[in-house]
Amino acid sequence: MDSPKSPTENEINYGNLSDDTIIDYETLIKEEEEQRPLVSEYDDISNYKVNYIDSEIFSKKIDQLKKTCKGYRSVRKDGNCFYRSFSYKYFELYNKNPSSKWSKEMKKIGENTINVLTSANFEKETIEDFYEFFMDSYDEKKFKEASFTDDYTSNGIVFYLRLICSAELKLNHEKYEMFLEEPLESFIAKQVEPLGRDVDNVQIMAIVNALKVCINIAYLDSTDYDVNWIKFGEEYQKDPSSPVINLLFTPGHYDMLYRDNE
Amino acid sequence: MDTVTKRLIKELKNLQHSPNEQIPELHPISDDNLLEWKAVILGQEDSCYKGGRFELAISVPKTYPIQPPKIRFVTKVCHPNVHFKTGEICLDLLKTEWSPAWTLQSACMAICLLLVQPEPSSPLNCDAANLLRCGDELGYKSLVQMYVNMYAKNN
Repeated sequence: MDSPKSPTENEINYGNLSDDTIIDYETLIKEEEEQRPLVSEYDDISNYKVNYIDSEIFSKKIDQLKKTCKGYRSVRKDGNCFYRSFSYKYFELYNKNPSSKWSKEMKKIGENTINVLTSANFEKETIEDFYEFFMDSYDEKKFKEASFTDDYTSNGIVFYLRLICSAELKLNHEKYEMFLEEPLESFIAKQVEPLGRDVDNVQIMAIVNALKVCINIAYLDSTDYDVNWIKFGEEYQKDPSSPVINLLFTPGHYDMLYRDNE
Repeated sequence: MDTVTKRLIKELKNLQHSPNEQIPELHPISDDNLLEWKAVILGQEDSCYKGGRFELAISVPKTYPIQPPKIRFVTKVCHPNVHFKTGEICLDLLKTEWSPAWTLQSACMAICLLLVQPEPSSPLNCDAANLLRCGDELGYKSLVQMYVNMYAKNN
């Protein structure tokens, strides 16, 4: 009698996978991802790996990045990667020099977010714990503790950023509505406030405008063009030396990027 | 005090200040465990659930409000999105669309709303959903009322 053997790559008919198989597979990927740290240690840019982009194109693009960038930090792929990468770099830049003009301005804007949120009809009682997490991160020690070790606090900060985004969309809806394919209210309820929902450019614009920061994103995809950089909120970069939040985008995911001048 | 306890005490205080007529009961089952709650919601007067009092069991995870509470019907209810035997509720808000800005009270209000605005396209109770999908409004209403009379009155 033949003993059952596991199918080889060629024998699997991908078109015939049952819903259960797909769900099991998705759960497996999710569980593996949950084992990874929320934020990884800093590493040299030449070690950056993405397994699904054609390797030749990819290494060409990494070579391009190397000209102006030195390193990266990756974050967990849980749908919160933009908010987590952004907040990490935001507070890291703040804590590098808390007495700089930029840092002081950032903290002032951060302090005021609770007032912005209550004016957008969020109940203070339900959001003030998260406001506290956010404000605590202006303290370097607390920020590192939360980012590396404490899922609850780190997710709390991610959530608070989602609320900042939501409040900005509500309060200045005329700026954003034209980019949406559904009513603003349902977009916010489905795509902004729940944890684990990826961002589109609209959310990035809202975060940039709410916190008055400049974000520069390097897009690393599988097309055979040069690495594409897109700056959001250039108007908030008052002089060329003021800090910019550099991020690295690969299809479906954001990590943090460090340029040579950082 | 941990964050979940702090948050639940806040919610409890808020409930005392602003109770909701549709939710005559919403409180922890016992004083020494803040994570298990009981709620009672009323069927809307102008709906086929009128006159019904429905008990809900709420289990709050330690990661609340980052994670949603688990809520199920204890009282048997006939509804396309509620499992007739287990009381499980199919509502995006309690799963993928949960946001920590929601509270136990607003989640219960969303369940009140679900009673009158069923989503027959994602059913947990196919018999109830099929009646609606066939457009048999009358049949649906009488089935719901029958179960309200059997299980959700004088309980």
